[in-house]
Amino acid sequence: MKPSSRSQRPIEVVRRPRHGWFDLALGELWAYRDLLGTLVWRNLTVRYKQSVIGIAWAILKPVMQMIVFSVVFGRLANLPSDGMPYPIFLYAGLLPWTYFTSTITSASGSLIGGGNMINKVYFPRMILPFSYLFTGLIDLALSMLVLFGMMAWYRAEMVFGLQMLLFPVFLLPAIAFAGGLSLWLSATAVRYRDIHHLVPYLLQIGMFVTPVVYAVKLLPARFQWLLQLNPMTGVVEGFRWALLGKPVQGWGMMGAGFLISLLLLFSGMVYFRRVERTVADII
Amino acid sequence: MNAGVSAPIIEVDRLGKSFRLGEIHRDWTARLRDRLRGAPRAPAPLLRALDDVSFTVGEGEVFGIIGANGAGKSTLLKVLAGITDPTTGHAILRGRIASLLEVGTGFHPELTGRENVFLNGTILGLRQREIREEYKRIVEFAGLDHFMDTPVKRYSSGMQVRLAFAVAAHLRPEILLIDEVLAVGDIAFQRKCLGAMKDVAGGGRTVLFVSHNMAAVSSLCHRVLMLRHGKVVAIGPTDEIIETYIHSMEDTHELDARGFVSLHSRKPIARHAPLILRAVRLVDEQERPVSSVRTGEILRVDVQVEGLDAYPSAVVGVTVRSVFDQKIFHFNSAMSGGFGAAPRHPVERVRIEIPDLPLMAGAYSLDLLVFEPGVRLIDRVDGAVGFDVIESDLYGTGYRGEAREGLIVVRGDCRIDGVEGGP
Repeated sequence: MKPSSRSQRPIEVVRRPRHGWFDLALGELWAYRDLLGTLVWRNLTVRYKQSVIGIAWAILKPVMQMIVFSVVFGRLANLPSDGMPYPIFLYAGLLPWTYFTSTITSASGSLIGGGNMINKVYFPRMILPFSYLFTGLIDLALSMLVLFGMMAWYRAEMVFGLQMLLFPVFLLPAIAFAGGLSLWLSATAVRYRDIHHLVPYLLQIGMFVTPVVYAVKLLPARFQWLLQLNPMTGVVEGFRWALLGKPVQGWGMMGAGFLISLLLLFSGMVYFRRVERTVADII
Repeated sequence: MNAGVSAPIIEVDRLGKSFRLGEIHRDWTARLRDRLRGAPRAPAPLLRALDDVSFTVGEGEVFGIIGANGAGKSTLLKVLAGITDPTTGHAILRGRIASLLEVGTGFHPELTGRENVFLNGTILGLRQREIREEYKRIVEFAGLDHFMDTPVKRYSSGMQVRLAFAVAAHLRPEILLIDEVLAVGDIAFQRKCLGAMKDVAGGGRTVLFVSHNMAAVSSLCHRVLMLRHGKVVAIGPTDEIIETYIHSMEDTHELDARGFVSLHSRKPIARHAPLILRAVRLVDEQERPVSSVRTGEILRVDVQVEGLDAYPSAVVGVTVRSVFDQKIFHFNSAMSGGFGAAPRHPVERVRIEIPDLPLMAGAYSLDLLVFEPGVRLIDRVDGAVGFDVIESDLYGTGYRGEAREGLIVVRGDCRIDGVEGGP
């Protein structure tokens, strides 16, 4: 919507065929921030309706996963954890990873799931996948409480410093990467429902090319850079550095990973805007 | 377009929208095979849902859009609402737009009434602050004060519609796009919606209203646009365009060349009925098939009956029902003393005429039946054909009745008749 300069009316909307590539309409996204807020809140509320412990599930799920993985990968498989107690090493990586997977899983189907709304009302469609980015952050904030508890428990073996305050910085590449992938996947899924079947497998593979249950050192040195091109490696390693004081090798590669995720986010927005024009005709 | 005052609030210029027909990736194996063989690729057939549509709407006008199913009415509204892009042309809308293409968009069954008011309201473009300010009035309009903390899935469908419309009725846009929302809910609720829409219309807002309900179009709209196969057929004063629409029934596929609705596809009530109702149509005084009739005019029903020559004593009748399925009247051939002439052909056309139709504007349906008096029912088709009654200037005073006054219309007279009780 652009304000018209001559008439006294503040708003003039023009509907015409769109051809350009780079009109991302960010101003319009901002204008619809109330809808974004409402959808974030809807995603959360709907998920825990009619469950007894409600939002406590957001905490319980990663904790249970941590217990199972600690036994299987820590005790039985004895995977390396850079000299830290395995459970806290695992949990610090599991939190951003869980954010990433749960966001992708919900967001990739968000356009199809919102088909009825898309067909009946206009709003910037990007709000649908984006709403899950924020819903996931709220879950993440809750499970962080457990991590802080564990840090207190393992206090003796931890190094604390000002770098602790930096952990949110490492969320930015996670948000950008999850956002970019969500845009690509949700827009493609409108035409190709195959995406719905593909996503769980991609995420399963993703967990093994990200150092969540093992340390980077597990890999031969000449392959480690490959692992670090994965933006989620930077996120997981950054979390462990900020919260647990684990030294990081390869800051440069981490930066490259962040750039990759920004590129994915930008290309995802461009692609999404293209698909958006006709999404109501196809869905 | 230089003076803001005189510029129309909606300007549509040669708007077009095409769809590629066929499933999205049906037959990609076949296409691949063709390409490998080097065969030319057949272009997918195009459907022009909108074709060169131009019109303007002035500020404060209530503008109706009518046309048969598939004429492009909803597509036009979707393009104007921004839900989908046009393929050619453009439209300019000068003001804040709200579209109401269905009631309760985005309603989530697990959420409570209160939560859904906020969800639905923001989806329709309200700010949360605006919803908080209007909340009390919304609940009052819906009449659901005691249910606002109950999940919507426990509501009856009528309650859901009421809540949804209550939200919509509190939108305050400058341009309101409405599609067929009146097609839901009971009569009392439809009346309330119509009233709310009249308030919107009276409040200086511009309304674009798509409907099949000619009664609603007739009572709400100042001007009407008629579409057929995506093209503009006529634009003009409401009554004139509705008249044009009534006489343009030819593209409804279930009708044959003479406008008969076939009754073949239904399940017969008896396997070997000696008499069968074959088809039915409504016609006007020039014998043209129609789907509506005006209050006070003659309802003409043609029924094709098979086997009447073998059962000349059989009676053919019609029952007219309201939208709530309430019987309003029944009329049959025995009441008027038979058919006038003995039936002689295997399939006869029976004409039933009801003069001075006393029905209030609205939608009605017609049941057909054929029976042997006092012996048995031979064939019956409930809801054989639906029709609209359109209000008319019955009293010659310009008065137009409203559905809330009753189901039927009577003529009458009123005068001062002498002095009572005075000296």
